[in-house]
Amino acid sequence: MKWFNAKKLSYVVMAGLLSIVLAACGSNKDADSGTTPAPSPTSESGAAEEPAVSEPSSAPREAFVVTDQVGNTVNIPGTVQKVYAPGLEDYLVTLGVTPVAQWSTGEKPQQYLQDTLGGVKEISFANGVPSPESVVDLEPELIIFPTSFYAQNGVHENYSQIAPTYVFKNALGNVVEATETIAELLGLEDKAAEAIAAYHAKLEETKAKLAGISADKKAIYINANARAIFLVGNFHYGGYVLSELGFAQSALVEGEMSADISLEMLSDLDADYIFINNNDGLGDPFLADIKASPLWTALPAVQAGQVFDVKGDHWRSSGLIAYQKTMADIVAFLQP
Amino acid sequence: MKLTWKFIIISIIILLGFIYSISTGQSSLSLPELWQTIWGNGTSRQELVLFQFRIPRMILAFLVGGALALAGMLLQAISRNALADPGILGINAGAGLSMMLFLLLQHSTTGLHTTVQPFYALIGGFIVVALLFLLSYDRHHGIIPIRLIYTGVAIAAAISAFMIVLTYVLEPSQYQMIKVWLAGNIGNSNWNHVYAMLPWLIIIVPLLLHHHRILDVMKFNDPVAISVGVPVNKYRIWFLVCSVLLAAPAVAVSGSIGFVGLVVPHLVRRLFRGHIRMIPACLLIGGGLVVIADAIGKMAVANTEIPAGVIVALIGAPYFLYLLVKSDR
Repeated sequence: MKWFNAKKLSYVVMAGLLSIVLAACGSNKDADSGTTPAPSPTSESGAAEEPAVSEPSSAPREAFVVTDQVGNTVNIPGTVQKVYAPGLEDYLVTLGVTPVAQWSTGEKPQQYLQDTLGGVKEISFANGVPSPESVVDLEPELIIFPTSFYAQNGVHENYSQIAPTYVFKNALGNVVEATETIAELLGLEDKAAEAIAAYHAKLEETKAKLAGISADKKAIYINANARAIFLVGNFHYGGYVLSELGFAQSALVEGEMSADISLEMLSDLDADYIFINNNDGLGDPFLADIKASPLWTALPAVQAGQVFDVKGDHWRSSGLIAYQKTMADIVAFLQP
Repeated sequence: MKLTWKFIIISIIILLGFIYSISTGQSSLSLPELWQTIWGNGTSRQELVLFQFRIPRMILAFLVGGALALAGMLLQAISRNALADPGILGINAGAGLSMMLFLLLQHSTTGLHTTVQPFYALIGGFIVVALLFLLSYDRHHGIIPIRLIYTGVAIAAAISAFMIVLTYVLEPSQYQMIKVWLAGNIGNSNWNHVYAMLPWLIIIVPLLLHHHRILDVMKFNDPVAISVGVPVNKYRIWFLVCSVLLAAPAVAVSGSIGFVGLVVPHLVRRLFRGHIRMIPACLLIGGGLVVIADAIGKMAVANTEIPAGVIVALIGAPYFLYLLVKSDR
């Protein structure tokens, strides 16, 4: 019993905790490097693989430093072969780049990109930004996060030790601008200019096709999931495309990213055209309830037969490819 | 079983938990490679994985688990109720709410440093404690233990409801981050999180050991405690503050890992008598439980990780029910 003297025990516990402090101090020398470039390739066993960061020896451009949209200084290598940009795959594919891994819900990645990205490693974001260990073996040379919320609470500190990490405030809000920024980081400005020009051409062409249909008409894009239906505003996704094509917005989402509506609010839904995405069947039970309601059948769009069930995750994605696919769908529905 | 043996066995289990924890992860690092890296012969990638990702994550899991278990032990002692823990009394919810507001307001990663986070959580934790104190304090009898529990349950429910309301105004990406953080995820922890957590334990644990006899006396009725010369009310407030100083920083760095504060003191009380033994035992078992839970969460499902908080609840809830059934008999 004497062994468990309070004073002695205090010393033991203090010594234990202090040893952790010392261990932490000893191992943190590298951690302080924060946003410095990725670890240089070693001459040891790992050197047999491709280097983590290519030296821009034969590169057409020099390495450079940029400040990202949340204020971090990021060292961009001269040539970037291996990129990891979860949630920005559309932008990369637009620029002809295949990332080292792709974002996934945990069940599947973005389906509309799988023609190009089939076989690329999937990393699940079902439990938030995965631990940096999920990426470290892929040895990316540049990491890009689409929103600042991905980079919070230690994520940026960890990922920037793997490779330079660029963080957008919100890349999904302005697709063209974000495409240009990513192109600058990767040295693919020409490719971006070409893709953006093609997008604008497609937009103008589609607008012209639908001019007679969209004039003075309101359209709404609805995303349904298991517990609610969301009216999507014109900041992104299908809502953005409808707005770009000249349709006016429902008052329910004006100035909003999205608005979830209850059954009682259905009668306020002022739209001439309704596009509904059932989230690959996830929203079906809730949509069935909505569609069974007399409030639904009384809607002008329903009575005029202007409700369209849209399929595919490009409707709920941002990027030039997603938006062009969405435009094609809209034309097919309204001008079959 | 002799006391020393109990501690030795617990230490061995925890040591095995540590070894399991640093040898598991999504990055490939075999045991021989791990051994080489420990002795400074690993590649830069292996060193990065071991020293910057796995070891700080493991230490943080240990510190968080220890702190939450100790906070639970303190609250159970002062409320004389085995159901008290920082989660049930709303302290985690208060700390969580202020952390949630902190995460929402901080759009820039270069803003406030990780080590400052506990102070934000403490704001919420102390607001809850102030409310607990005001609502369970009686002019004649001081803090009434059962009223402390009822008040805590009500506050926790109110804050949780408010947090749900708050999630409605979030963008999907914000909502996803908050949801994951609330589930108790330490997958992206680093040394800064360890630095944020460690000082609180270094300060509070020796203080508790110093006052272990007073904690022992707390289990008696107030008149008995007062008759042996312990100013119960003064210490009740003091230990309540200590529990916040342990729980709030833990919530700040790990989100909300429930059940540790409830289950571990229960188990410890069955194994040890007297707070002089219970304090180190809570630290070790609480820490060990979260380390092992986190390691299991890392490997449970292919290509993703399950938050440590979820695994703790999966292990903790059945064990707690088992304890309840057994103690009724």
